[in-house]
Amino acid sequence: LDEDCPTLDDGDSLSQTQLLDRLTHGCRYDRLERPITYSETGQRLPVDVYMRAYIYFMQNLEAHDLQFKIYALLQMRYLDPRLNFRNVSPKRRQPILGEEHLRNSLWMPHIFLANERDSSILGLTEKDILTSISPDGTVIVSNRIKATLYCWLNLKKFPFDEQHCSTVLESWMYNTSELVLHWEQKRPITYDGALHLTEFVLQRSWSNETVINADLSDLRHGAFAGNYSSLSFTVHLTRVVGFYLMDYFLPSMLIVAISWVSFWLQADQAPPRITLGTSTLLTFITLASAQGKTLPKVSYIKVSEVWFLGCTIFIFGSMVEFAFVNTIWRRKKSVPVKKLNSKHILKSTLSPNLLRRRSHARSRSFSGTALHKTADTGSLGGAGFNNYLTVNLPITTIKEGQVLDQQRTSRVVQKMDVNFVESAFGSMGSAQSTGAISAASSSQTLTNNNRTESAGHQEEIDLSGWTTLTPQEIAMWIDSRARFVFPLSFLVFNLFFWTFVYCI
Amino acid sequence: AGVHLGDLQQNLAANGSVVVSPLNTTDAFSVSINLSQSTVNNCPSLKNAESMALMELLTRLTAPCRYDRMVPPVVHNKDGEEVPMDIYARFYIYVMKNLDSSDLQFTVQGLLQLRYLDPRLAFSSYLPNRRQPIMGESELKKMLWVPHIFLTNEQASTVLGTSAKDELTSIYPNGTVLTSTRLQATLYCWMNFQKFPFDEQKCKTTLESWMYNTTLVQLHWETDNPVSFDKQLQLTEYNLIGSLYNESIRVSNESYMSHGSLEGNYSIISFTVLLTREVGYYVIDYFLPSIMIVTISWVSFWLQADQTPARTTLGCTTLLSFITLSLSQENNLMKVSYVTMSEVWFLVCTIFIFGSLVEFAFVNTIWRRNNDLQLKKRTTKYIVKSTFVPHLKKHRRHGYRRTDSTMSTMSTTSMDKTCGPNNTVITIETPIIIGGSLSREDSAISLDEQDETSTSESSDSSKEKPAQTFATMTPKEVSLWIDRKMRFVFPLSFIVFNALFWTLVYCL
Repeated sequence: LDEDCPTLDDGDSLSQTQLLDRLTHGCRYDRLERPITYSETGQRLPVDVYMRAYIYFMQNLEAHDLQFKIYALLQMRYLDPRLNFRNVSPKRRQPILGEEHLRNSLWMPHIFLANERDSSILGLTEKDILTSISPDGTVIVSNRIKATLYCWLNLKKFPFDEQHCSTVLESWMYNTSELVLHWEQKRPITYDGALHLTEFVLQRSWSNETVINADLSDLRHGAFAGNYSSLSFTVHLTRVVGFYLMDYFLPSMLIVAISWVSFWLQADQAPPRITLGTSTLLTFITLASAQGKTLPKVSYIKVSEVWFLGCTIFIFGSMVEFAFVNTIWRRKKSVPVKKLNSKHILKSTLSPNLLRRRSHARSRSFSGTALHKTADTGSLGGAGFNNYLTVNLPITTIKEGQVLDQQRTSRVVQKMDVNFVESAFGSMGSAQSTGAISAASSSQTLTNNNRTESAGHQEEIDLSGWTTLTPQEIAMWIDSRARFVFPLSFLVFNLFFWTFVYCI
Repeated sequence: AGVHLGDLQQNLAANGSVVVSPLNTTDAFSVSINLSQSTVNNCPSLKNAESMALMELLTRLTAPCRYDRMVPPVVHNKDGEEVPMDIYARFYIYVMKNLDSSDLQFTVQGLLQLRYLDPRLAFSSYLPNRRQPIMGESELKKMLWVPHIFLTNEQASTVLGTSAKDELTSIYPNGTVLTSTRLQATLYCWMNFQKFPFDEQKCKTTLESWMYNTTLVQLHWETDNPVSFDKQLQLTEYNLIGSLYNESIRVSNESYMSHGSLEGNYSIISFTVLLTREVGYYVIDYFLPSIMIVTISWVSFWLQADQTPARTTLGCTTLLSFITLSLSQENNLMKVSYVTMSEVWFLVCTIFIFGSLVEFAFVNTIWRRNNDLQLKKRTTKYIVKSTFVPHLKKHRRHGYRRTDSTMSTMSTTSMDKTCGPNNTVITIETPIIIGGSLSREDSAISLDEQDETSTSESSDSSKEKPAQTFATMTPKEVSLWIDRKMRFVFPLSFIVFNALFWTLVYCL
């Protein structure tokens, strides 16, 4: 033996520190050199390092910056024959325990986290490092670490997404010919019972062992090309959607339903319907943008964006429907329709050219009454904006009776009498009313009966079998249809949306 | 004799030179004495400890030959058996801050004191006259074996101090070691927000032995004042109700490997602070404004049903204000999956504002109807029943419309003749609008009964009129009636909801 090398002959009488000092003395232990074992044929075998991880908790899987924090106990186990003290100290059967100081005097495999943002070893006064050397030379090192790791989230189905976050451990210095990483065979990854994930639920996890090839085009290991051993474990997390349902989906359903209040208002009520449409859209954009702040800007369309866009289209559609209905309301022509069903009403409403052309043809065919047609159109338009049309009905009845009195039976006379009686009961100025009606009737008698009769006859021939709808009636009809069409469409949209969410 | 001296000379060669006198027996004895002295000189002596400096004394006390700083002291009881070492802890907290609801952390600054007995450091036998403890800072601590305690729920922790760490170590004459550390720790508090913002939180801090299990080390709290708080302790959002402290055991095995591969029971001491959230901020900033906004939406019921711009603006603007208010509160919270109390509150208030807008749509639609309601009595049942069955009137009105079109055409024809009499007729006819509608209905009757006699018709119509007048409500009257009812129904429902809500809040 060299004179400078302390002896190990009396290992039992030494204290633990003295024994370790002699075991790790420079003459017999080189802490820069890995332990070397040989196979039966004399080849150098790589060091097998067995890893085990215990996760205390995970924290803040932040979608905003794609990170998550992990607090774990990381344990490495390997065999170093140079530290075998069974022969030199047979009575010592318990492993030698030490902390950071002991670890600093040993050779230690350098393992790094490939996807780390930052990491550190926890500890208050000293680092939480536990080093244990068994009598046969097995070294077990445990570290309590805190690591911020990157998790590349896929937010396509946000907020109904599932994420896979990996933790990758790699050998820094030695390639697979010198050092090979393994997971322990029994329970390599375990978790604390209360993992304290607030937004996600841990479904399952698995561990994996691979080999990573590093060359000049992939410089993960400095300048040394070769195959490096790599371990990884992956957690499968499912986002809990209760928060998003309560705070975003339910309020947006209510806001879309409020925009349908517009269909119950009258078509000419422009100020309230415009206020209703713009305010619901403003409220909805406020709600949608509040959710967008919690996410990174990604290029693909997320499921939540599909939802918000669909709801925006519904609110926009109610505004467009109002513009359509208000334009129809302000028309001046009545629209004749064959039957009172959807097809004919829409057809007549959306094709005003035929009506105009037909009116033009009519005026040409009866050149003698062109001026009267123009006056007729003006009067009808004027009547549409006030209630005089209703007021004129009794005159119509009386006049008809007066005209037909000279040609038809006495039943018309009875009808006229009934109307007179009703008028007398309905108003206070019965005498003046009766006088006025009589005067009107008398004045009508003086006109040319033949011309009046022929005009009425032609009108009757033209409009036989058709029903006339005023623009206001068409507008109301469209509004009453929209009251069912929009909620039904929204229901169908929800059906497709939630089917897509839960089936794909 | 020569061989003996030769062997002795060879064996002692490594330890120094020895003068050998082959003829005298006294010289051999002297050699033996020298050997004893050289063996004693390897371990520094403590005989003249009185004249030593404290640093010298400590250096000799903690020399490797009698003190191994990697090995815990071995404690024996009266029977000579080996018992685990008891470590007593005390914690004094003078700052507790940043109790944050969004990332579930809080920061504690305090003084952690550990006390244990290490017989290897007893110096009363060497220094009988000294009764004060030996005091030192970090350098003294590095020479000793100190128990390693870690905080299980820590996010980050550090020892405070500017130029040197704020650590104080005292060694008493009987070997009791007292270490005090000023530390700052950011700890996780796993909060439950089910009753937010009326919640109570229990933040538990656990100190655990890192290396040695219960066969070697056991942690205890001091019997007097184990956990105490500074009187000037100020929490911004919470009130400190009290604290609990506890000692327990954590089992480390294969499935619960919290201590590396070393299985066994580990000693744990923990203290829990009980905190109550101060609700004044939330009541003044969120609950009272939301009550006001919901109340403002009821102003709609005092407006007339045809005041559509005012009522829709009122409904939409209150909803926009309310959504903005509820969104600003959601930023204060961690995203949790369960339903919190504040979410229940905000959702129900939104439903109330939504309900007032829906009620306006209903009332406005009724206002614009053209048919009177025929009621048996003016009671709620008949009014609601008649309002919700418009089918009969719709059919009747449909049939009437065609006749109306024909009359409209005839009216147009009549206006074609003269302009002067037309104006006169319009002016005179205005007072009989109601009469017009009545005559319209009666015209329908007369058209259907053309074969009847004149006298019979007159008597029948005169009899029907009083009955209809007594039990008729116009659509506007129905709208006003509904609005008047809603002025009581909505506030009453809201009061009932508030009674249920605050009962749930304070009784659960």
